Amino acid sequence: MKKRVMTAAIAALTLGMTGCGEPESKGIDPKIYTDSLFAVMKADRTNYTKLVVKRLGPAGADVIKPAEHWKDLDNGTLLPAQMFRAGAEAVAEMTDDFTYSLQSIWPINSQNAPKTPMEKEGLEYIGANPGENFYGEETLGDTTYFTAVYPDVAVSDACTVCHNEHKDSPKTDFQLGEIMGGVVIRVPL
Amino acid sequence: MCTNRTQFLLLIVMLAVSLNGCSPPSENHQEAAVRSDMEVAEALYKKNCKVCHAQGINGAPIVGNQKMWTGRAEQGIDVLVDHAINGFGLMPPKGGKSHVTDEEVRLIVEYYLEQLKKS
Ligand code: HEC
Ligand code: HEC
Repeated sequence: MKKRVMTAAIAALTLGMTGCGEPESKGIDPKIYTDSLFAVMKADRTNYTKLVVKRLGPAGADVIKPAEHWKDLDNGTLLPAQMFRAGAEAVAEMTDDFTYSLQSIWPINSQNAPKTPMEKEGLEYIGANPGENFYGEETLGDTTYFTAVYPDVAVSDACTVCHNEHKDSPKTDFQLGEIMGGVVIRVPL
Repeated sequence: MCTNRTQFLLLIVMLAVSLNGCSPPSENHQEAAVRSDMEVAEALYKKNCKVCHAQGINGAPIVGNQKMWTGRAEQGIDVLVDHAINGFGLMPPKGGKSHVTDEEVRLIVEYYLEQLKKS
C-alpha cells in the first residue's frame, strides 16, 4: 500500500514535468531550422577546405589548384567561397523553401553585397559582435521571411592575403580572426 | 509511526528542496579570486577567440560542448595551451591575435575547461 502511494506520487510528478498527452503537431522553430542548415553548410565548407583543398592543393599533395579562374586550368578547383556559392545556386534551382548566400559588406564580387536593409543590418551586427548570429524578420513583396545571418571568419592567412590583394576587393586590411562576411539564410514564414 | 500520508508529505518536501537547490555557502576569498579571474578570461575570450569558438568555425571546438572537447580536454592544460599559442591543425597561433600574451592564453584555456564542468 505504501509503495503504491509513492509510485502514484512519482508518476504524477513525472507527468507534471513532461506535460501530458500527445505532442502538439506544430512546425519547427525557424531558428532551429536555419541553425541546422548552417551546421551542415559549415561542416561541408570546413571539410572541403580541410579534406580537399588543403590535402590535395599546393599545401598538400599539390595535384589540384584552387583558383578563382579554376575553369581555365586543367587541374583547377573552386575556391571554398565559390564552392559554397555553387551549392547555393544548385539549391535555388531545386526549391524556394529557403535560400542562402555568402555575402559581405566588402565583397570582391559585387553580387555578394547585401541587397535588403535586413541583410545589411545583420552583416553589420555580426561584424560588431564577433561570434554571434543575427536573426530577424523582413517582408519582401507580400511574403514575410525569417532571415538569419551567421559569421564567416578569416580562418587562415590565405583568406586575408587573397582578399586584401584582390583587385576588386574594397577592403585591403582584413586580419586573421576577423569577420569577412556572413552566410545569409532566408526562409518564408 | 509512518503513515502513507506522512510519507507522501515527506516526498513532496524532499522534492521541493531538491528543486530549489540549497542556498550557496558564502564565498571565501580564494573562490572570489578564481571567479574574477574567470571574468577576465571571459572578456578575453569574447574579444579574441569567440569569433571561431562560439560557432565551431572551421571545426573549432565550441566552448562548453562536451562532445567536441572529448579527447581534446584529456590532453591536459599544458598541451592545450601550447596548441593555442603555437597553432594546431586549423587553429592559427593565438587565433591570429598575436597581441594576446601567453599568460592570457592560459587563462582563456582554463576558462574553456571550466565551462566543460558546468555543461
Ligand atoms: C585565392 C583567393 C581567395 C581565397 C584564398 C579566399 N577567397 Fe574569399 N573570395 C574570393 C573570390 C574571388 C570571391 C568572389 C567569389 C564569387 O564570385 O562569388 C570570394 C568571395 C568571398 C566572400 C563573399 C563576399 C565577396 O567577397 O565576394 C566571402 C565572405 C569570402 N570570400 C570569405 C573568404 C574566407 C573566410 C576565406 C578563407 C577561408 C576566403 N574567402 C579565401 C577569393 C578568395
Ligand atoms: C580563426 C578561428 C579561431 C580563432 C580566432 C581561435 N581559434 Fe582556437 N581553434 C580553432 C580551430 C579551427 C581549432 C581546431 C583545430 C584542429 O583540431 O584542427 C581550434 C582549437 C583550439 C584548441 C584545442 C587544441 C587541441 O589541442 O585540441 C584550443 C585550446 C584553442 N583553440 C584555443 C583558442 C584560444 C585561447 C583562442 C583565442 C586566443 C582561439 N583558440 C582562437 C580556430 C580558432
